[in-house]
Amino acid sequence: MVKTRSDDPQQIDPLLEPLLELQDRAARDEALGTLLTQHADPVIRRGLRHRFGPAQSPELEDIRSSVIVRLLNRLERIDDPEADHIESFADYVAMVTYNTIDDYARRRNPQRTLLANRVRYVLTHDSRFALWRRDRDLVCGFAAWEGERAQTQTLDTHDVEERALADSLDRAFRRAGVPADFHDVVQALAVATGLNETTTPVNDIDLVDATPSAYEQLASREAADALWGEIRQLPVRQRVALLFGARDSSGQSAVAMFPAAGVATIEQIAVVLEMQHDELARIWPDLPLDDNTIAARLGGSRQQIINLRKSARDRLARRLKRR
Amino acid sequence: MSPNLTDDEIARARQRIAAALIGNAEEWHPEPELLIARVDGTLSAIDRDVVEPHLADCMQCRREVRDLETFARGAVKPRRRVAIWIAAAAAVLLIAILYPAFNRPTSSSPSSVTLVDSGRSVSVSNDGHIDGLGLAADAESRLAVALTRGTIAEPARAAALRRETESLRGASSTGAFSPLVPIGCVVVTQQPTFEWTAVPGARYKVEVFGDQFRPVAQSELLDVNRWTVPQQLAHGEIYAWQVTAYKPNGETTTSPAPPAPEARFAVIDVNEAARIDELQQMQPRSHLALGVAYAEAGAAAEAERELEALSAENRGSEAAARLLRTIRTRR
Repeated sequence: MVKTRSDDPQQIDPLLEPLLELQDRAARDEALGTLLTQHADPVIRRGLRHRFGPAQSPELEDIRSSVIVRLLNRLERIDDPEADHIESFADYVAMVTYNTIDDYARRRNPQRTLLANRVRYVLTHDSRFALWRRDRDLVCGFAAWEGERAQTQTLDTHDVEERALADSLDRAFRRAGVPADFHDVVQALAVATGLNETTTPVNDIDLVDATPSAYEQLASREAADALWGEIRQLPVRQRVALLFGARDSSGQSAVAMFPAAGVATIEQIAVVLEMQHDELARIWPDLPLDDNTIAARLGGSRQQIINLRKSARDRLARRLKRR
Repeated sequence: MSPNLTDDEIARARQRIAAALIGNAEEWHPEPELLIARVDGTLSAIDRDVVEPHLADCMQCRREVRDLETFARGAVKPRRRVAIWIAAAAAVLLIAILYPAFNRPTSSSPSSVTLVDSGRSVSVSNDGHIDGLGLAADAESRLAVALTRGTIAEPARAAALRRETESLRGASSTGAFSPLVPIGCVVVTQQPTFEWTAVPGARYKVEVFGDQFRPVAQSELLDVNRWTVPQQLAHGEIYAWQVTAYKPNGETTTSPAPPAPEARFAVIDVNEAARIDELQQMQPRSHLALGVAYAEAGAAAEAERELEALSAENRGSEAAARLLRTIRTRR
């Protein structure tokens, strides 16, 4: 069964409708350009300004370009009903922007990432504090403030002690008297402890590797065998999340093509999915399954299925790229 | 293979499959919440299947988990009940009263050693904490011991290698035809470069042996007295090597030859290699951290290079000079 976007139209941001409706490639490209320049770019710039301040730099342009590449990759698959639904394009752009900034930060300054993890740990484990989402922001402060909007960007952390992070946060929040954005808190602590100085040269940072793996383009027997071999190495839940949900650009099950393409027989697929052949045969006409159905089979949430699939795809891509 | 599809159709189907499974795959890392749950031991079975395979592949996330584990062990003391607040306040009061009597070093006690490390000030406080590097607690405590006492642990295997090849290393300083490096040490690369004393006009062949003197690699005939093994040697393994000189007069000489000891060396253990790799990413400029880490791995040459740089930056510092002396006794 081929599933289309129209199965669940209410989950798509109306801004994206032109991409779904236009069949002409040139008109679609134009709509994509409009979407990126008029709607995505302001959100990206706002996100960058929020994290890095008003200064411009070639590094920020690199991050911005990386966000655009990631958005393009996703929007190219806008018809894919199983890709995460974009209910709010602006929220999606903000999320991609912050994820890209986080990827950049953890490579540029790994120690700052360690600090951010420690701060997050304190905020979620010490009952004095809380960490919460408010709109698109991650906000933190005393537990009594939970739910409020971040009201300060300048946190006085002059007396921070790395060894007494919780008490340092306590003092800083007392002085501020209002909740603060989590990333602003980390930034203030990084400056106070000198961690902002330890950085990796920007040239060494590859934010987005847009080059497809040779294996993505190869159609050889060897490539098919390698792909199948790596799938068999995944944990069984990752195999289930990946294979049951995998679909090609037209929405058809990728797994249904395995036997004809000589990747694996139905019996072999049943074995790697750790299920009886008869059971797989019953499901076969319904493939690909949506995330909620897979989640029900595995006893998890939709987000967990998405994580399983992303983890599996990342692992396959890493391992096949090494070949 | 399906008899119904042409080769082209099969190839296209494989491309569609590959595109569906890994096309546009983005680098992905678990959310920090999942890493924290891993540290807390509260991951669900499904999330374990997400996180654990990723950690096996991703050094960056492994490092983050290790740091959080260290941090979680000592840094956070949840205060969940008023009673605990009261107890804590009482404890603080008690310490304040007793402090003058015992005068124990505290976290605010003065630094016992301060060095400049690539322009940054690094100090060891009397309670053994290191300020300025931001390392994990166990690494900090080893560095503190090294700085305050001048002692650095040496792997038993490296010490044994050093002792058993002592006479060979002594012979190489006489200028006679013999291997120079690596001998009696741990190398940090899996493709070490071999060097030996030159013999005028000679050509050379190097042979590398593994366990039980099993041949592992050999060079072509070489015109120069150095050679880098083209294949990767195994982490943690001990190897022996010998070089043969083919002299212009037709005479051949192999060194070392019995009764001289074998020219043995070890390739760095895989865990030590990963530790140093992580350190190089976190503290690429710290001669102190890298020097001590190399020394702890048995890589005396690299340790000496880093500690020489540290000593040069801290002329007059007994702590830096003592560290350098310690490592030089292992060369």
